[in-house]
Amino acid sequence: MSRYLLVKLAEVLGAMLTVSFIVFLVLEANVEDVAVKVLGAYSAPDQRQAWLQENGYFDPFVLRYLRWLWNFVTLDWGSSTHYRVPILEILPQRLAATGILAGITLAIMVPVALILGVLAGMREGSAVDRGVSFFSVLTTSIPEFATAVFLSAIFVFWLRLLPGASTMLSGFSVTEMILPVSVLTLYSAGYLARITRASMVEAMRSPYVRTALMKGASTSRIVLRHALRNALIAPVTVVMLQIPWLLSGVIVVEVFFAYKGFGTLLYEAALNTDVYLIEACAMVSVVVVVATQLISDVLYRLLNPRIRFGDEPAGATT
Amino acid sequence: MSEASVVTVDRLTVALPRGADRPYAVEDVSLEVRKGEILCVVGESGSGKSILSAAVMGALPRGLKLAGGSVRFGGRDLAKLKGAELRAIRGNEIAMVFQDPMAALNPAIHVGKQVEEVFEIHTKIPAEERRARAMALMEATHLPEPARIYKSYPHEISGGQCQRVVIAMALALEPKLLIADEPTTALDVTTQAQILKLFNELRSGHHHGILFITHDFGVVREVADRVAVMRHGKLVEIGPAADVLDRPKADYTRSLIAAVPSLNPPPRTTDLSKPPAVTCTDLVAFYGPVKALKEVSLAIPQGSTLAVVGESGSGKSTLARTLIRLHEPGGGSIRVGGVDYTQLSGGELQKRRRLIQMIFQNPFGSLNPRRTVGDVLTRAGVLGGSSLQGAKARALELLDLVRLPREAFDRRPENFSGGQRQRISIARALAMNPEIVIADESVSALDVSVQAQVLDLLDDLQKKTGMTMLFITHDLRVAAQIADFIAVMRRGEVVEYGPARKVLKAPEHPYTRELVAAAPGQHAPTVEGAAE
Repeated sequence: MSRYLLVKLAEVLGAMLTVSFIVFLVLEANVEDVAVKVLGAYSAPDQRQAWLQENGYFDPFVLRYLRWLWNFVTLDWGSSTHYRVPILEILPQRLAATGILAGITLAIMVPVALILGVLAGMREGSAVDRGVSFFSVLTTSIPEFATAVFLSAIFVFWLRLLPGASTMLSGFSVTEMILPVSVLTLYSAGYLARITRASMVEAMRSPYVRTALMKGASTSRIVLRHALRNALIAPVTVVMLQIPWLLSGVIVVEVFFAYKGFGTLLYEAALNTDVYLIEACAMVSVVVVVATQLISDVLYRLLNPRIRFGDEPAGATT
Repeated sequence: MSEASVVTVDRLTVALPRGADRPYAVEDVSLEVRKGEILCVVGESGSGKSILSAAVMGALPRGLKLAGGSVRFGGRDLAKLKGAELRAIRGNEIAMVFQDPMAALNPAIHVGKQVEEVFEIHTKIPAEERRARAMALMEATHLPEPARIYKSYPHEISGGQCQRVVIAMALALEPKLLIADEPTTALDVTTQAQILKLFNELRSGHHHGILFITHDFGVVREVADRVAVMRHGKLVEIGPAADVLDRPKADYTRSLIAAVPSLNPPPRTTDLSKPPAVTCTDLVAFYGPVKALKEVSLAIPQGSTLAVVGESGSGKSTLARTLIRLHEPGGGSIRVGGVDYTQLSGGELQKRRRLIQMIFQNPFGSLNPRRTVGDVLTRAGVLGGSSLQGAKARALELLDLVRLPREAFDRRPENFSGGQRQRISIARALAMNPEIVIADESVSALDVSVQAQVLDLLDDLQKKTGMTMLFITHDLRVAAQIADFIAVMRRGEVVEYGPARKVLKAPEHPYTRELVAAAPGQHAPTVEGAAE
């Protein structure tokens, strides 16, 4: 297992280095551009030259990349040109805010979707199955900005039960959390429920479930002991793919509800061509993506004894 | 109903859903299984034998309905029992052994725990004793190192060992009735022989009644006390094994038995003096670090047939794949018609590959379902270098040649049975005008009667076209019927290679002797413990 983890970690590092190089290439290859972005469009040309000279921008590209990478590793992330504060002062708190949003969403969405999926897959073709499938297709097919508009129309403007913005200006507020979490849950639960259902249906049709049936096992034993563990393998992978999505894919929801999270930060950084902030956000995203992939691989192996630690599974990717 | 009867099936009828090819899956079948005997139910695919066993377990597949009759077991009608009552009987008084043992065990639970579960479900035995009894059962089914196997997952032990675990599980509570549905079909022949021996032991030891479903008359001969033959859902014939096997009353039984390939090779008239069409010398192939072919050297004279026989994992399919360079050889040479096949590349390889054609095992997977048969054959002909008109005319000829009606030209593969599809696959291979045909387990998925026809067809085609054939099979009996030469493979090596008759009648290598001895159908079961 430790050997497996070492190999995996090496792969993860490789992936991160590759992405960091691409990010740097895209944003800092053209030094003139960087100067314009940092000093503003109205800065004088000799002012830019002086700034570039001063910050070592005329050094060879590879040297600049390595220096940048080293700064990133040593947590010297520079300052945001838009907010005029060190990036380390805003990014962690925004990440935490999104973490809370994503965490609550996962805590609600995963159990709901798994239970619905398992109930539906247990008895293929039953009323429950049809109901869950209908609900899943419906919620997945409505994009999150549409759900956000519908839910706001109902709960904010019509029933006047919930606040329309989730700025959290006066500290953490549960009522402000409800709408963004609902939108995200509705959008992602359907998909997970469908994957779980398909996986459960397959398990329930398998010869080993027939064996259990022929041993005289009750339905609850068949589901809990025999089908569930094998059926959970695919959904676990999906959940782990949804975590990075929740982190950066929630831009729409965060912006819609004016929630001060990682998504809004990335959105604003992009709008204001805040080079260093974009770089930092991109690197943080990469870390989250590869970390969840790593966890997902380990969980996958724990659930599926056919893949032992140390073997390379066929088609494994990072 | 006799005293010793364990289960009595009386005029059982199971209805198929509307739109099926016949109204009943099982029609008016009556039979009984007696204590201490093995009743074999034999039939080809679609005969209703598996539905019969499911009905006895009270577990008809979805869509099938009981339309009449009863299954009496200890004073109860199994066909009428529901939920909890059935569960109390299953695994306890009636137990089942399945076809594919690896798939029948839960991949995520230690096999020992799965044996233990039977006690957990039906008894209140404390955990420690459960474990001890599971261990004892695993020992009784001759599993080596039960303690290690107990803590193994199904994928960590062999197929034969999995089947022993399944049997241990079935025997846990000394069931009165044991139902075995094709329990050896997925196993290698030497493993099959051991499992059949275990069944014979059970018959004489445990006082169960055993209902044994199989398609293989060889297996029937090894284990049956009595035999029931089924066809199209109906019982054709039932009686003591000796009567049914050696003095069958029904024509159908007679034709089925006649179709079973025998280990005795029929006399062959192939001219073996021609120069070799294929010669491979010290052929080596690797899968990663694993050497799957170890210096294999073989030669097949033009117009003759070499059968490569081996169990799963012996490298026989790798040999076929390496010969046509679907798998790149790791060393050695392949000479086809004087050209070193291993040195070819690009267009030259494409051109030469046409001369070697392959017929695959699964006739359902190897034909494109979206193309008509004519399309498939014509395209193959065009790829083989004919004009479109020529290829079309040739396609019709080929249909005649493989004894399919010419109407087949415009139909899609879905309209044909397994045997017919395999004929189409053969026609497709021949459409390229190959010099060499490789048949990889091409008759393994077919029923015996169809198998015999396809073997006959291949033989006939060889005489007509002079093609050279490499025939890969796990079944020594099939090899005996078609081969001029036999090569026996084991763990990537050719252990014995020679004229078919010599290999079968005077095998030199101990492994060949083992294979010949394990081929089912040569020994009748010992009579002790048979039904009175």
